[in-house]
Amino acid sequence: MEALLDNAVFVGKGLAMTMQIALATLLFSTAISLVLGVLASLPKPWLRGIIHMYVEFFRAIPLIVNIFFIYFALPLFDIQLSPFAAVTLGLTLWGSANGIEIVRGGILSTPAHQWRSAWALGLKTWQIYVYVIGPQAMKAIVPPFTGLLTLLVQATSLGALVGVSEFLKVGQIIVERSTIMGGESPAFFVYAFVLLVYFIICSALTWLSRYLERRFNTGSARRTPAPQI
Amino acid sequence: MAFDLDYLIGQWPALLGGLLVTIQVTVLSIVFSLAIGLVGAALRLFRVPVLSQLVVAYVEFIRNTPILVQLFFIFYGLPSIGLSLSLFWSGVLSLSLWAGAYQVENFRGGLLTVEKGMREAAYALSLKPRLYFRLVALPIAIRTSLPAMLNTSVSLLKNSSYLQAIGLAELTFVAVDRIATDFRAIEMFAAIGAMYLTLVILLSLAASRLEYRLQRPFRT
Amino acid sequence: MSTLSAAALTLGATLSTNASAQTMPPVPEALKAKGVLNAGVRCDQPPYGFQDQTGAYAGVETDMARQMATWMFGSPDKVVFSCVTAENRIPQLTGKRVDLLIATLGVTPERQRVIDFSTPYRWGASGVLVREDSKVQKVAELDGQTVALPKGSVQAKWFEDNMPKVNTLRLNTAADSLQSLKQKRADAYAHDAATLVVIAARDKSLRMLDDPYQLSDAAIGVRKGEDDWRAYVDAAITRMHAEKMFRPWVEKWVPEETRPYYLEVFETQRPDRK
Repeated sequence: MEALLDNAVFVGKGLAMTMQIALATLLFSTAISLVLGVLASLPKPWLRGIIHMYVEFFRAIPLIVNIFFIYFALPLFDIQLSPFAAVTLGLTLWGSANGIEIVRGGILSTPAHQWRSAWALGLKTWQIYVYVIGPQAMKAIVPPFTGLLTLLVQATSLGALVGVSEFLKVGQIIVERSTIMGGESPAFFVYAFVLLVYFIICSALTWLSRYLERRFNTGSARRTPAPQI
Repeated sequence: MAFDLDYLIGQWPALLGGLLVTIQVTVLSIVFSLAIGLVGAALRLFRVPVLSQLVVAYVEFIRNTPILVQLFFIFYGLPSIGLSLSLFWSGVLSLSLWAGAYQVENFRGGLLTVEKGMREAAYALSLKPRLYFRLVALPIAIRTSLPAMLNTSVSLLKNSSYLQAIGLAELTFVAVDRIATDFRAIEMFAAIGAMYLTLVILLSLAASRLEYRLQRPFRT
Repeated sequence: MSTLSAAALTLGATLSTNASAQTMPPVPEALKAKGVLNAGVRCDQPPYGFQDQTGAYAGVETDMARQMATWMFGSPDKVVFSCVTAENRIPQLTGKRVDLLIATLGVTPERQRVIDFSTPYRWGASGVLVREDSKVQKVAELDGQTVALPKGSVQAKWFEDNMPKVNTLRLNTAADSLQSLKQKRADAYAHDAATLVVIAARDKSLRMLDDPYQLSDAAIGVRKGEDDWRAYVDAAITRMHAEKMFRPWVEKWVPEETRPYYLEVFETQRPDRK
């Protein structure tokens, strides 16, 4: 227990880093998901095909292999990324792959007649997206997207494996230092603490996701696919 | 940096060894997680007093914490209170617990789709609850939740790569270990990327086949 | 730079007591322009490189880097540390994310093909740690047993080359290897004697074998082709030895009972070169 109290500042820095990774990833993933998700819902098979390949590829390979590849192999192509950038990029690729599916599902779940009615009213395509389809799709997109955010926050722990000093890594460093220098291993308490903090944060997000789902209550919506872990 | 195929061929035995470990861990964990899922869903369905609340807590806990931290806790933390497992079994335990939580939810979803009418009809036929569960509800539930269960199993396969973090010599670990010594990252990742993709595709294909076969009684 | 001439240089430097700022070569322009020293250090190998309670970088090697920053830019704060691990330290250097590696980097021919080494700043032996009740007394007796080794370490390579009958358990970090020894997943843990000495002093249930093998040097790593930078680093190390700067650093970071060992590896000559 003392191990945690002594290292409180260090632990705080780790938690801050976790939040940073999560926010950066969320930002980029959302941007990519929105753009590519909309594109994927257009009636153009070749476009859908390419995006589908992107989505399936990044959902099929293990997330850790994804991050490791960016971290170990890209430098050989002279692309130097810091560990933080590597994790953010890896998580973004995976997060956007899932996000695209959610956005696409949300858009396609809006009733078809909305389109025709809007056309009949003389609205242009982009206006239809922004004013008609968008708001309705959002109801189907936001709850599962919040669920995705929960998984993203959990996935930031992978940063520990490439050397980013986020929350888990800080815990690991504390445990290792105590093991080597002190002969004692505080692993039980330190990792239990890490689990607890993640649990609190992610439970809150999960609760938010369920609440939003009830609030928006998409009646006839096609069920959007769950994120592939 | 040129792609060195000869190097890759030379590393083949090591990679196959890692692949074998990955498959072993995955298969064992799938079996255990299905068992956990079945028991957990049954406990919740029958509203067993203390145990069903425990199941709820267990599922919520697993789904809201990172699998990597769960793994570290099991492998590094538990020995401090006397529970020390080998690398392999720590990995299996960790993956089984993680996937088990999702399987409980999958099964539950399947069980919930069994219409009330089935239960009433079973009672009318004097079937005891346990028999009803075994002979009526379970087969229907399994068919319904099969896609989700197989989905979780595929995720299990992918997440087995996290076990490299504790030093288990599965596929990803072998690749990274070789990279640490020989620096040939591209060859290694191409190899394991292809291997994981192949396994995922194979598993998904087997899953579709199984679903198709099980749908046979219902096809007109 | 062959080990023989490196030894001669170190010997000459420690004998001369007149090394001073005036004899240090100029800092290469490209690095001077950066304004800070980008150093790759270890964050998981106390007492060489680790992170303390506030997450600040600590350790003997960290202090070495700070000293160099003082000489180069006038302040020990003009250094940016990056944590490196066995897998990524070479790519971090060759990819220019850091400009030098002070990260328990042993001099090996494989690494020499990819990077350049400075003159060694210390030597070290490899050691083996076993449990108190183990019957093993010499390294040769480990045949057929399981030995835990950190990935990418010189010991991992040594066992691979010299003792193929040993079951090697390659793990991610020193702490992992120590853990497996204590939990009986491995029969022995092989690593730098310097690290093992600290552990053995603190943990009475473990014992170090009195059978050192594979003496090696630790040096600073720089990229190939940067000879003027390497000359500067060499001069910095020479000066550190001459002005006995390692002594206060060792006293600061190394637990008292193991200090004599550490002072020996920093300040004396390697036994096989005397």
